[in-house]
Amino acid sequence: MARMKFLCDSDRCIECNACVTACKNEHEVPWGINRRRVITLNDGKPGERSISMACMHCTDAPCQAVCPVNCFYTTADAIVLHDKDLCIGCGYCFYACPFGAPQYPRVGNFGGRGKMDKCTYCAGGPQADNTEAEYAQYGANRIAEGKLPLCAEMCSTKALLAGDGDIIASIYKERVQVRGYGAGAWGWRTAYRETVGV
Amino acid sequence: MRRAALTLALALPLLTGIAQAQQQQAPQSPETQQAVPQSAQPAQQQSQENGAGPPAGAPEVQNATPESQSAGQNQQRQVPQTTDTSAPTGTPAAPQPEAAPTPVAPVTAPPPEGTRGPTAEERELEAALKGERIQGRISIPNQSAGVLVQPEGRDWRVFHNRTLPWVAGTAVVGTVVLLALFFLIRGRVRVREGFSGRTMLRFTFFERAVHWMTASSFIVLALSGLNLTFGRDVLRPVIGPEAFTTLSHWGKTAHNFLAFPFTLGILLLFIMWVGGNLPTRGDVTWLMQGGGMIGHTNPKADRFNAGQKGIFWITVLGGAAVAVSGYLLVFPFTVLDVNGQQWAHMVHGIISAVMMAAILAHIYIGTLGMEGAFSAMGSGQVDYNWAREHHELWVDQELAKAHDTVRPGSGGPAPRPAGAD
Amino acid sequence: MMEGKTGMSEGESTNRRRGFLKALGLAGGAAVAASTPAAAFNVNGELGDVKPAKETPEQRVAARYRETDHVKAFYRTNRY
Repeated sequence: MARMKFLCDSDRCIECNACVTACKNEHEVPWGINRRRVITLNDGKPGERSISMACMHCTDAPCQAVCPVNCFYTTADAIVLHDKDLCIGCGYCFYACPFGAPQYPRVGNFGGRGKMDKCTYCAGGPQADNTEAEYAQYGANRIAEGKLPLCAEMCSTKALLAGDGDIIASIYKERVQVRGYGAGAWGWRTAYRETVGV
Repeated sequence: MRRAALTLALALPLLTGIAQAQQQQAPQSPETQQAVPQSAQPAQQQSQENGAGPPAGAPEVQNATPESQSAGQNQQRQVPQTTDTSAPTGTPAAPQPEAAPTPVAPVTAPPPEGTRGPTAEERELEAALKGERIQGRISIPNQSAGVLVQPEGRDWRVFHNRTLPWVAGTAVVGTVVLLALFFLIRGRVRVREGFSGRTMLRFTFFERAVHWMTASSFIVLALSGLNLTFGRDVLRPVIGPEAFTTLSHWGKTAHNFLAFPFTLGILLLFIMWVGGNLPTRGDVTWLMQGGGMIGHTNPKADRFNAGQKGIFWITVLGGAAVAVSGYLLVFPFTVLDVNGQQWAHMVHGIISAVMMAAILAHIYIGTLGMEGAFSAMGSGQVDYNWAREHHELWVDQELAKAHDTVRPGSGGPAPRPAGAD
Repeated sequence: MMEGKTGMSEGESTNRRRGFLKALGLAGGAAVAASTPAAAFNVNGELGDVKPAKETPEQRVAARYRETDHVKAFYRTNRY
């Protein structure tokens, strides 16, 4: 069974934010909700790295563990999704997430939170595949269409990889061998409890 | 069309004016003019490698600067007006190579100097061990999204899933068990001489109203809070996900809104009763004798005995801490970052658990644990014998006040002599 | 300054140009407004007016990834 993962090759990422734009457009993500974002470490100094970060769909997801209403579930592809009809907008998933993936539309009590939204790996949610209901709540479902997340498909430098974890790890390892160096797979130790040997 | 013509008309005099200014300036700095050509030559030669172009030295190719556009004036200048050299500027274009160069095996580029730092795994491990976050620059307005990894979230998860349930569970269940045992062993605390049938006022209407507002808010706050910690395992399997979400949603809403009357209540409780709850020497005696509940001693107590003072301070100080942390939680990220929010949650949870234990004991003693106690908060009136047994010093003070009211000067430990004042 | 080619005055040709461009802009705006999709993403996470189509617990955890030609092309192009 294929285990879906993201891998951002920070030696190739040029911080163009095409992944961010693709995601926002594909799912019509509203203002203020950042399913995906690009962070630049050591900006302007030697060793500058840009990393595109969204939900990593962790093994043993912390968000799932702390949710008081247990609205998360993990599919057979290891994609972590949640049911917005069950979410009460308490915000605990954001406290637990190491990557800051959960986003809130700030329409709850005192403008605090509201129902949580996050990267769905372009796999929609617990409404039937590719229906209007699924799009209204969760956005597009590309995985059910036989495609991959749009952020990785649209990456201008092919820095962001998505798909079968073993395959993208091998792609990354090949790149590291060819060019002779590699910063490593950001987030893999935290999310998947494993590393890509570079 | 007219505007374009106007612009051109304005520009030409300016261009010629600049050229004239250059002419006047040039003779004054011969040193710099001579120094410049050497540095300009390599640039000249590079630009001619791409193939034969216009002859070197042609002013209109060398420098598209305004001062050289009036070509006629160039011949008249003694010294070049620009930084570009006036001497013959190099060889004609190099001849193109006839054959392709022999292929060479590609050499893997070495990593750029000084950029091999720790790998991603090493940085994540270091951050996780130190409990530090990895963060950088981000271009969107939400600057807190610049945090790449916050390892403290893992510690908070352990707190939320393991520590807090144990603390809260022990606090609540443990207290109930202890109270049950106490009741079974000691039984109800009775009034020794029985009820006299005469009552006296202990708490006014306002005091009781504030108490019950605070108390009822606390009950709902405690239950909705416990639901967030335990509901998923205790209640959700019983009533199903949708019903549980509805219950939890309304519980959370109630929790957020009842925070306000609760905070007002503990503030008023503090103002009303802080005077009577300051620790005195008698409290030590009272505590050492177990409040008279254990054994056959009968320590004297003021309006509030040491046990009640304990409840007061736990409620007021604990309630203040819970309120402050609670407001930080309900208005998230206004003051604190995500680590601050995690700390606010931990403080809120632990202190609430302690308060729940204390309030359970308080409820027990005020209802089941001691006969004659509930009416103090229920009707405000308490039996005289009950009061004399449990709050003797307070009864004396009240009687002195009463005597003083009826017959001024006769009450109190040191009655004023008649005719004084 | 100059007369227009067709003999119109300066002001009249300006007005006609502006009128034409306004009509063009309005038409374009109407086209954009008409083409906004009926199904949109709801910011508050609710369904809104849309008919619900909830999956069963077994359906929602089912595997959906397949290695289609599209996916294989992605892997191939990312090896460059």
